[in-house]
Formats: sequence, structure tokens, C-alpha cells
Amino acid sequence: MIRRKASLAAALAGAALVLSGCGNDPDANTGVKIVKEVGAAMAARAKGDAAPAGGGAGITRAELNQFNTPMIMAQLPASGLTAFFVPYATNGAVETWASPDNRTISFRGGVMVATRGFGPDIMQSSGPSIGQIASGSGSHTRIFDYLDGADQNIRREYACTVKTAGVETITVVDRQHTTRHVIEDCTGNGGQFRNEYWFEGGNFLRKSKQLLAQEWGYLEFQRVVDKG
Amino acid sequence: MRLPSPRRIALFGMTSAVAVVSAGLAIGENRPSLNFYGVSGLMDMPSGESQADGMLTVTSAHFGPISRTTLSFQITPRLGASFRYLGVRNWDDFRPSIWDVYYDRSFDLRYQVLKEGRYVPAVTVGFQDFVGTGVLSGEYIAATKNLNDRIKVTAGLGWGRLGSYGDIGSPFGPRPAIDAGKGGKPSFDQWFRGPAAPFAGVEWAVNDRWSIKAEYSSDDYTNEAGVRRTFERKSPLNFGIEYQAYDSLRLGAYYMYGSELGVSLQFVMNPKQRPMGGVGGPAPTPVKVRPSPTSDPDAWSPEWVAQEGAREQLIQNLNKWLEKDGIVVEAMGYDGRTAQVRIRNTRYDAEAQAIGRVARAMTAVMPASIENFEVVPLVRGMPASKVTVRRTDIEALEFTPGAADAMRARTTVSNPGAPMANLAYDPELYPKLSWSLGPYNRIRLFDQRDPFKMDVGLRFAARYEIAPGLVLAGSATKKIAGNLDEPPPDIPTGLQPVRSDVDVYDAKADPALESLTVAKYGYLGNDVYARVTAGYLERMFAGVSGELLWKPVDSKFALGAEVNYVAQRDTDGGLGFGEYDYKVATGHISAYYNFAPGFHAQVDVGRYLAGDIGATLAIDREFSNGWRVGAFATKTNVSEADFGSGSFDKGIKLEIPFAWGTGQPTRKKATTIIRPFGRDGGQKVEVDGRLYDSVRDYHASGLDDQWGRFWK
Repeated sequence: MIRRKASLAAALAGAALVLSGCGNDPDANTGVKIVKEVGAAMAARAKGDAAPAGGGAGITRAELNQFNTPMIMAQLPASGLTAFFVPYATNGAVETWASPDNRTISFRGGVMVATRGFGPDIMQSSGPSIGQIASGSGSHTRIFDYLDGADQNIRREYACTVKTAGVETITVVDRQHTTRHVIEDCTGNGGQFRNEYWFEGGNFLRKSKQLLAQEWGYLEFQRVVDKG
Repeated sequence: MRLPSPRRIALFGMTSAVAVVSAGLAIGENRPSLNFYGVSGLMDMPSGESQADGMLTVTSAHFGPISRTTLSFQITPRLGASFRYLGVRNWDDFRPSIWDVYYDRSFDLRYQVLKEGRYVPAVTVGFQDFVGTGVLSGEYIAATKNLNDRIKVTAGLGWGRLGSYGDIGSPFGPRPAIDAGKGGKPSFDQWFRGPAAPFAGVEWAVNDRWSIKAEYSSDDYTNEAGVRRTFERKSPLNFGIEYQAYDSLRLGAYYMYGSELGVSLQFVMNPKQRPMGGVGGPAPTPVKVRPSPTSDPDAWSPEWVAQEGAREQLIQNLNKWLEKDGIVVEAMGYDGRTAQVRIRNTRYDAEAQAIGRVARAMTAVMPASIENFEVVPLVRGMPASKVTVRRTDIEALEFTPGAADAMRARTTVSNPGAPMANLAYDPELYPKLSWSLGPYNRIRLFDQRDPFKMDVGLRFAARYEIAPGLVLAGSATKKIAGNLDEPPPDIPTGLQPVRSDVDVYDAKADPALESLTVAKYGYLGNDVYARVTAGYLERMFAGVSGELLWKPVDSKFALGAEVNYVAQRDTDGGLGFGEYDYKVATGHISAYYNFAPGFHAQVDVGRYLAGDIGATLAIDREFSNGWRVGAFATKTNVSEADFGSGSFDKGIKLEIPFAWGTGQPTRKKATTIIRPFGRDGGQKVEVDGRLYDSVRDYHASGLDDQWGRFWK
């Protein structure tokens, strides 16, 4: 009997824990709370300054230093969107990160495999491993599944090649990083696109630019907080 | 994790609209433009082209004293139909008439007999105003050929109105005088009879946005220009310039018949595709994968099932997850391996998305021993179906390309069945009171004085859900402004004025009790659903209404029966019945058949409100996103003379889901029924919550239409 009770309690408590992390009681979870604060700060900033300089959405390192949760800043130039994402769920090798405004982006390694909450979302996809990209050479195929305006599946298939563009020093929110710039060129039934990756100290993905959808262009990611 | 950021959302929406518009223009190149009659063509002359399949267009064209507003629909790739409202001003300027503006309604049908080929032109045969009183009647054969990417030429031969200028004789004999009677019937005898006249035109697309049109018109405007002299027809030549402002909007300016200026507005909608593409809305709860049984055997123990209070706790947790989705879990039952939830979906237009959201939330909440999720959607408290998914599949397929098809193959849609043995409702949910106070508008089209009248006001509505499927509901209105209280002249009717007095209700019923009913809905088993409604059913009738529906979840065919006993209400919007002292038993046997993908037919046979007996045929083109465009006709044993104008009841129906326009998930729809003649024959009582459309969305076809949204 005791075991029974314990497992029930565990199941329910587990659910409650996840809940507090996800949405219904945001203030109970520090990571989410901070992201929310950043979001609010950004929104306030955006009001005053329509075009933040340097592509950093105006956030400063000092502001970021308050956070102890790994954080990715994502920008979608096509819509002027900037949002901050924190780790949220894991399914096998896929990590899903979430933003305070109810969007999620899922990565396998650092390679974006799905999005939700954007509208023109990548429903599912298959593609290279982060190791294949980091190797700086080789070729692979990609498949993206989207939904069209009638909610029917649209599949885009691409053949891609990877090459190294050289060493580059990049700036991510006031901090300089020496990176290896890798380019992935893809051609297929959806047209062409070029994803770019900036690796730091081996395979740590500091920055990347990855295709969301042909009509919308690229999502640009910068890893702004490493901790966690 | 909710941070309202309206500015971003608005920006996102705005840019997406711009992106769509600019992306759409490329596709829109060389699309056949519309003429003044709202059909593919030049100005007054039609072309051999048809619009793309499923396109719905609204055209408003005006020159001199003549105005035409037309709703056209491309029913199939070759078959098109139009409904038009015509107004001719200055009607009594030269010859006296009871009208200063002459109004008329007309229907067209056209069929493209040849598609354009390398050498062959597109050829269309058309019937203009083929059931009307004949004012615009004309038939034509038109051929159009694109000479290159920019220039297309059209030539044709017209009869009737379109054969009235420069004719070449009467190849198929004389045209008999029209015997319209009460109108509204096809004028077979006239078709392709009488003088035939050639017409021609050319359209030059200067660039992607601008084009120039010129035509030689075979319409003499015998009555409008000749007899009534509403304008002077000096030349058969017309010229125009058109501008594609957006993918959906085209504007034109014209010089007509050597004397008049004209303008037109062409509005094009594609029901097949949301203009904004993929639907928005918050991201789902990601799938939470269970720990492996070996690493955490305790989590997999099914013994939690016996715990007190587990159900309440689980329902509460699920509802927390689903709050952002507008989904409420009302009841739950379980054994060690299977959990069944009854849900109410208030937001997702795509029912599969609601199911998918519930399934994902269940992965986050349900103990690991639960492998089977049974989701039973409730509509008006009545279980509509049962969708069974395996948790293992949800876990495995979340990020796999082809997940939608793979998931559907592993999903079972069945009838609601019996509830699980220990299923119980959340005691907090019932009874439940909800109410709203908001604006309403009421529109009356085509009365003899005016094509369009409208009232606006406030509507108070309340719903008291006593128990699952048992609802007390009502609504009342108070007019604030409008002109519906100017009734048109009374037209005598040979029948009880069951609908023709609607203008009296419009004028007098203020404030009005619209409805006040108690209704019970339920699933009886064996694919049979039932409804009983009693009270003030609608503005004009009160009584009792009962309905049964047999609809297997995977069937394209369904049968229903409805019986009503109703009395006609007083026109003051109150509770009384003394004014008419009219009671009638009415009811129908209905057959529903999804006879081809996207096409739906309904046949009702029975007794109508005026006591007349007959049948209704309704045919709809249905799009996966919920758009419906259809037409209906009812023939009963009422004579044409007793029926009055139009000879029998008919009309068109449009249902447009808001989600199509906004790109955000919502179950709201705009429904419009247009009856060219609102008379008393062939009318049914309007009762809320008819069963077929209530349950069908959650049956196999309704779920499959937008199944891709399962993972959205």
C-alpha cells in the first residue's frame, strides 16, 4: 500500500513539476520567470527603439548575466521577431526549447528539426547530425514536412553539401568568440537555401542561421547563455 | 510561460500578409479576369476561360446607370455558377414606371467544353440569367486563346441579350416570347433561339499588375438604352484598364459604349488555401517520454488506479496543460493500461489538432502504465466519436518525417461506445452558467424597396448546462439602429405567412426574446444520436423538436429523422401565440451523402412549415478547412401561384471559417444563406443544434480533412 501511494504521489508530483515549468504558473519556475523578464525588457526596448543596433535586439551582457539557464536568442528577420528560448523538453536526441510567447523550437544536436507557434512551422524533418555539419565537409539529404494553407502535408527534399568557410571572430552580445564557420548548401524541390554554422572550441554551436521555410527565410540563433 | 506581446504578433501577422500578397502575385499572373457580369471575360462580354477550381469571386461593376454585383463560384474545374443583383437607375426618367431604380436578380451557369491547348482555344458555353424573369437572359459560346504570355483574344457568338446587336440571323429559329410566370424556372424553350450575334475582344497584360481590355459588344441594351433611354449607346466598342492591387483584389476603369464611364472591383477568394498559410496559435505541450521500465519500475506500476482522488487530480492537471488550447477535459475513466477522457474543444477548427493536443498533454500527465489514450470529443455534451491512440506511437513519431500519415495509420476512430466502467465527470463542471452580451446585426436582402437593409443592436445570450448534454439556453435582442422597421409593401401569399412576414417581426419584435429552450443531446449506441429541444425555438416558431441521426463514424452516408410540433409566435417578440393561432406538425426524413471527395448532398423529404409536402435537395462543395459553398432547392405541393415570386424555394449558402481569414485557430464560422425570394413554401423550422453537423466534424472524414494538424 505504501508503495502504491508513493508511486501515485510521484506521478502526480512529477506532472505538477513539469506543469510549473511549462506554463500555468510561470512564476514558480525561475528559469521561465527570468526569460519572461527578459522578454518584457525586450518588448519595452523595442517600443522605444525600433531598430536595435548590432542584431542583438539591444540586450546587454549584464542583463544576461542574471540568468543561470541555457538560453538561445532566436531572430526571424522576415517578421522582425526576436525571442529567447530555454530548454523545455527532451524526446530521445531531440531537445525542445521554448520561448515566453508560446513558441517552441526543437533541435537535434544544434540542428533545427521542428518548430511550433510560428505559423509556417517545420512539422517534422530529417537531416544531418551536428557531427556531419561540424566535420566541415561531405554531403547529405534533408527532408522537411510542412503544412500548407489547407493543412495538407508539403514535403520539401534537398540534397546538400557542407564546406568550411574558415575561421571567424564573431560577437554575440558584447562577447567575442573565435569560431569555425561552416556552410551547408542545399538544392531541391523547394528551391535553394544556405544554412550557416559557427562552431566554437570543437563542436559547440555558438551561432547558426537555419532555414525555417522558403517563404519566410531563416531563423538566426545565438547561444547567449551557456550555463546549465 | 505566457507573455503577451501583441506588438510582435501584429507585426508577424502584418508581414505575413505582405509576404502572402507578394508571393501570390507571381502565381496570379495571367489569371482570367472578370467582366461586368462577374464571370471570366472582358467588360460586358464573356470569355472561354474559367476561374481556377473552387474560386469564389465577388464583382461589383458599374457604368452609366447600370450596376451589377455578382457572386460567382467555380464549382468544378469546368462548371461555374453565378448569382447576380442588377440595378438600373433612371428607369422612370423617360417612360413612367413604379420603379425609379429597377432591381433584378439572376443566376448563370457555364461549362467549359474545351480546355486551352497549344492550338485549341478554351471554349465555354454559358447560360446567363437562365432561371430569372429574363431581363439579362442570353446564351453564348466563347473561345479564348492566349497568343503569348501577355495577349489573349476572345471571339464568341451570343443569343438573347448577347445577340441583340449586329446579328447574323437566327440559326436555330426564332426566340419565343418569355413565359416567366412567377419566374425562377429554367427557360429551356428560349435557349440558343433567335438572332445570334458575334462578339470579340482582346486583353493585353502590360505587366504583372496592369492590363488593357477592348471589346466589341453584341449587346444592344435594347430596353435600357433604346426603350427607357437610361443612357445612350453610341458605339459597340468598350475599353478598359485594370490594376491588380493585391492577389485578391483587382480594380478597373472603363469607357463604355462611346458615352459612359465605368468602374469595377473584382474580389477573389481561394477557399482551398488560407491566405496566411500555416495556422498560428500557441505551440503545443511537447511530448513527455516515459522513463524506461527498467530504470524506473515504480513509475510503471498500475496500482495507482485504485487511489482515491487520482481522477480529480489527473483531470485538474490535464486541464492546466490544455488551458492555453481552449480545451476542457470533462471526464475521465481508466484501468491500468487505458485512459479515456471526454473533452470539449472550444477553439481548434481542425478537430485533429484538438485530439493531438490532448494526446500530448496526456503524455505529460498520465502515469506511465497508461499505454492507450481514448479521446472522446463532446459536442453539446454529447459524445461524438472516440479516437484511440497509442502512447508509444506519440512518443516515437513526434519528430519523424511522415508523422501525420504514420500516426493516422495507427489511430482508430470509432463510435463513442459505452463510457469506461469507472468514467466520471469532474464534479466542478456541472451545473455551469455562461452568458454573453454583445452586438448583433440582422440583414434583409432583396425586399422590393431595397436590396439591403440592416439592424444593429445588442444581444444577451445565456447558457445553463444542467448536466452533460442537458442545456437550458436563451437569447434576447434589443435594436439600437437600423432600417428593418421600414417594411416593404405586403405581397399576398396563398399560404400561412410562415416566413414572408419576417419583415413584420423585423419591424415589431424589439426588444425580442429570440429563443429560450431546454435541450437534451445524447448518444444512444449503435451509431445513433438523439436530440430533443423544447421551447421558443426561433424568432417565429415555438414548440417541440425531436431528432434522431444514424451516422457510423467512417460512413459517407447517414440517415436522420426530425419531427416538430410548433406554433407561430406573435410578431412582438414576446411569449404569445394569439396573433396567428397557427399550429403545425412538420418534419423530415433526411439522407446525407458525401458522394465524391469535397461534394456533399442532402435530401430531405417531409412536411414543411406551411403544411406543404415535398422535398429539398442541397448540394455543397466542401473544403477541408471548413469552407462550404452550396445551393439548395425545395419543391413542394404548393402551386406556383400560391408560392408567388420565384415559383419554389431555392437559395445559396456560404460558410466561411474565421480561421481561414485570420490564420488563427477558432471554431467560429460566418454562415450566409441567400434566398432570392423569401416566400412561405418549402420552409423549415430553425432549431439550434441539429445533429449531423454537430457530430460529423469528429467522425473519420472530418478528422482526416485536416489530419496534418494532429501534430501542430
